[in-house]
This record gives sequence, C-alpha cells and structure tokens, in this order.
Amino acid sequence: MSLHLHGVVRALHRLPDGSPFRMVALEDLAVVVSDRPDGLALTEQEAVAQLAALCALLPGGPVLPLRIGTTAVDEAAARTAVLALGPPALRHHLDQLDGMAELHVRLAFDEDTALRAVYEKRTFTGRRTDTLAEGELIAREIVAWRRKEAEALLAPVSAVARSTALLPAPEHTVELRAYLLPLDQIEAVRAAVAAFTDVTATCTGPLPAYNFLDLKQQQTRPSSRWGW
Amino acid sequence: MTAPAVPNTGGLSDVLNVLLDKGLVIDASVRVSLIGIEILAIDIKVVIASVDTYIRYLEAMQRLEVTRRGLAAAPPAAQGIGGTYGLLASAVPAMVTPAVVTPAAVQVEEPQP
Repeated sequence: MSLHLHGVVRALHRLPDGSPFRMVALEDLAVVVSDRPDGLALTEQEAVAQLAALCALLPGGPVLPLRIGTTAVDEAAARTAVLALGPPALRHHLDQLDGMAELHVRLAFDEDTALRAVYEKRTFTGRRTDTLAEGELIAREIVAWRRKEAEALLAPVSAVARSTALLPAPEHTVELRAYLLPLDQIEAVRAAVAAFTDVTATCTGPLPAYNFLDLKQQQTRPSSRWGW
Repeated sequence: MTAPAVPNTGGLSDVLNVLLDKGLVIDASVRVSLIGIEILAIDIKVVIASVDTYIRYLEAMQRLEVTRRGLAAAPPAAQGIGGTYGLLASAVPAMVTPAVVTPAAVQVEEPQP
C-alpha cells in the first residue's frame, strides 16, 4: 500500500465530511493524501473523482494542487516531498491564493458564424494553389476572431478576476480560459456566463489554482512586503 | 464567504485533460500511470494539422464567395446560369471571335475554280 498525494493545505484546514482524503501534517502545513493499492494505474473515473474531492476542499481554505497521479511510498516520503517543495514558498502560495479559486470558461462559437466573419474581414481570392497554406491562414483568422469575441464577451469576468490564463483548446472555434477569481464571485460569474447568447458557454469550477501556481514570480517582484 | 457549489463531474471530466500536466511537481516522486485519459496536447496537434479541417474551411470560403458573386450577378440574370455568370464571361468572347473569321475565309476561296 502506498499513497496518492493530492495537494498541500494549511495544517489547520478541516476536511469536509465524507472526504476520501486524510492529512499528513508537517509543521503548519499538511499534504492531502489517500491510500493506493500498489501496482494499480489510475483510471479516468478515479482521476475525476479525486479532482472532485480536491475541489470540495476549496471552501475550507486554499489548496495547492500537486500534479495528478503523484505518489509516495509512505507518510515519511510524503513529508519529505513537502520539504522538497520548500515550505516558505508553499506558505507564500497559500497566502496568495487564500479565498481564491480557478474557474474554467469554455466558449464554443458557431463555425459558420466564424467563417463568415473571417470572409467578411479579408478579401478571399480562392486563387492560391497551396490548399494547406490557405487553410492555415483561415484557421489563424478564426482563432484571432474568436479571441477578440471572447475578449469582449468576457470583459466583465476579467474585471473581477485577479488573473487570466489562455488554455489550449481542442478546436479553432473554441476559447478556453482559466480565471483566478474570489470564491464569492464564482456564482455571479457562472450566472453571467450562462446568460451569453450566440455562443455555447460552460463553466467548470471552482478548481484549485492549477494554472496560477507561479504567482510568486509574477507578483512579488513589483510589490512584495518581503521585498523578494 | 458564500460556499460555492461543488462542480459536477461531467464538467471536471472535460477539463481533466488540461490539468494533467499542471500542478506542483515533486522531483523525487513517482507518477502513477494514467489509463483511459487522452492528453489534450496530442489532440490539439491533430486538429491543428488536420487537412480535413482546412479543406472544410476552404470549401466554406468558396461557398461564401460563390454566394457573393451570385448576388452581384443577379441583375443580368438573362445571361443564363445563375451564380456562374462571372466564370463564363471571359470564355464567351474567345469562342465567338474565331467563329466570325473562319467562314469569311471560306467564302473567298469558293468562287475561284
């Protein structure tokens, strides 16, 4: 039997009732773990269940997610792992992310609408012989168009978000963004996104701040009270 | 603070792919293998390089172009085939010109014998 390591929290964090996790404490920090039978791979269902359980910790305090599928042989190894990450940096991360959560917004635009917009924007000659190059150009124009549309639609969300990350999308017409939002703004943002028309919009979250774990580098340089 | 609702697992399943390579990494730890999970990065490369997608875009552009030309050619509709007026316009005079010249040459030669 070994352990799955899911995330780092404050030692004072209280797990919600029915959580499949337990905490292994190290000073004022703790690593969230669950038992794992040796030699078994992680299925998609299990990974999703673990992610859901990790999301359920968020209302109780900040959570620093570890990469999905991280394991350790025992509790001593789990503590060593926390030490390896550097407790001062972890504390700083936890402070930065206190009361915040990540929310993913996915906007799927209609392909015909996107193509029409691209067609209207530039004069399509249709005379090029290089089909791939022409197709690539159209694809780039679609991405530029959808980014601009998404920017306009999501301006109110960006206004309340502390940070934004553009995520790789599976299609040219799909915009996928991660926002770092105050937890108490999540429901309002969800409602605002649900009211969008002319685009298929979905929200997923609140999630641990998977895409905003480099906040230390971004934010401490200009205005850190520690002067880092 | 308002406690937010826990997200439904359907949505999480969708975002799992983009989170697989995120999160803090512990150098010394072992990462268990993940089965049944497609890495989105691979899907993206496939889509971006997809010739089928490009051809679909090009065909759509051509349809839009044809529609536009069709609308522009609508007033002289008496010319014939709707929507192809622009393509035929250059071909018609090229065929007509030699047809006028050839019979004239034949008429000159006939009275001599």
